Amino acid sequence: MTVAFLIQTAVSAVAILIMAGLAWWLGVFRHPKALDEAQGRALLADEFPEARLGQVWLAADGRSMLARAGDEALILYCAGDGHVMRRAPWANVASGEVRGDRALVRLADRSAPRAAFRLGEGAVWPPVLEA
Amino acid sequence: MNLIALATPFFILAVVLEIVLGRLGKAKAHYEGRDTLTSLSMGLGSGVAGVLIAGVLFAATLWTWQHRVFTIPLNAIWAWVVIFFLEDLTYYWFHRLSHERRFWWAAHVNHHSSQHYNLSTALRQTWTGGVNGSWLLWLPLAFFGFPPVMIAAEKSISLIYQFWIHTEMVKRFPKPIEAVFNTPSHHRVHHARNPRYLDRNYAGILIIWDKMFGTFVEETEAEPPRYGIVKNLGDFNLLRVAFHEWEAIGRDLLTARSPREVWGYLFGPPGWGPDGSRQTSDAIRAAWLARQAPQPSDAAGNDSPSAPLVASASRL
Repeated sequence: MTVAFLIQTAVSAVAILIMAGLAWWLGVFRHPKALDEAQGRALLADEFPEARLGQVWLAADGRSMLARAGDEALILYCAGDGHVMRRAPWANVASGEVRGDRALVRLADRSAPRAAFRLGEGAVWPPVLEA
Repeated sequence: MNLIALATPFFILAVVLEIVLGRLGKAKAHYEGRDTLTSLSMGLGSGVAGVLIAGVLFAATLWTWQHRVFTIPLNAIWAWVVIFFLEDLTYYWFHRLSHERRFWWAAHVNHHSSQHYNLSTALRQTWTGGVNGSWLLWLPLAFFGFPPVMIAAEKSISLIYQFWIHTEMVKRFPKPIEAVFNTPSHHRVHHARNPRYLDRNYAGILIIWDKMFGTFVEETEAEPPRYGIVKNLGDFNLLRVAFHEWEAIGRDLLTARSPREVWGYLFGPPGWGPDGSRQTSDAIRAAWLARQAPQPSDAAGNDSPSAPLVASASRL
């Protein structure tokens, strides 16, 4: 690697930080909206069209949602202003770990290894949803 | 002369311009801070990874050229015209391979992992493209007699061309342009995860290859593209973006029970599984087409908008 390459890489890194900062700053007034039940249901129905959605449970911060379809859980959570959806056995949800005001559910997928759910005051985990 | 390095200031200015125009509401452009940082960091890392593999790639190309069939002059206009088409055709097959076979998809998936489609997405480039040997596809050009510098220049031109089509600012170009060139509209389709659009429009500069080889789909107003991958990434961890599919391949190989399964996990289509419990792009599309099929009650109507889709389904 030449000095020129190292300088080019360093300048690129600085440019990246400036651009990302600009994007962040300009987007600062556009916090990702919290999910509501209708939007969450629509997203899940689109992602899992063959699933019969029953009751859903929305996290306290509106950033994640849980639905039950038989023995499976349908999980939806936000990553930035995007959405991540996965299926998991309901047993995984039931055995989720509660840390403070968050419940953490492990997923068998290295591209999304766990989902977090913010619990409201007095909320119990797992939520009671009809199968 | 490094054309990519020369184009980098243009890339930066174009991204800044798109961010500002999008924020001012003058153009359609959606940015999110962490997503943008991830894309740009992947681009930076890709440059470093590229330097590490450049020596091998150059040596292989040079050695192949030294054993060439013909000697093609660097200063002949016809040679530049020919290599333009041949390189673009090579890119089409490289790109198709990178989507349809998991070993190559593992290196390419990161480029599709953003749920946004903007100029920064263009820079979300692979860190592992050098190790899967896809560069071998360009060696026949050297063997044929095109000088290595000519091949490198044409590859750079293709990459630079493909930068600007990663945008939602441009809706459609006039029909003659859309008919021949890869445009923002065609490439939005390529980045979409809608079943209708999955694994389509592999073109580099010319969209004609997709039309010739049956992988072209037009963007429709009725179904805006939803960007990302079939299973979107759970966070913005750079290592996960760069390596998650390689890790998944490794885990699958540990569970393989036969040479067939090893082969399938490595070189089958993404989503392949021995028990059919996962879905390939074709399976996702087939399921979607089946859902579009008219129910028995409306099967009598020939003017159903689903009719062409049913016809397509029967071909799958």
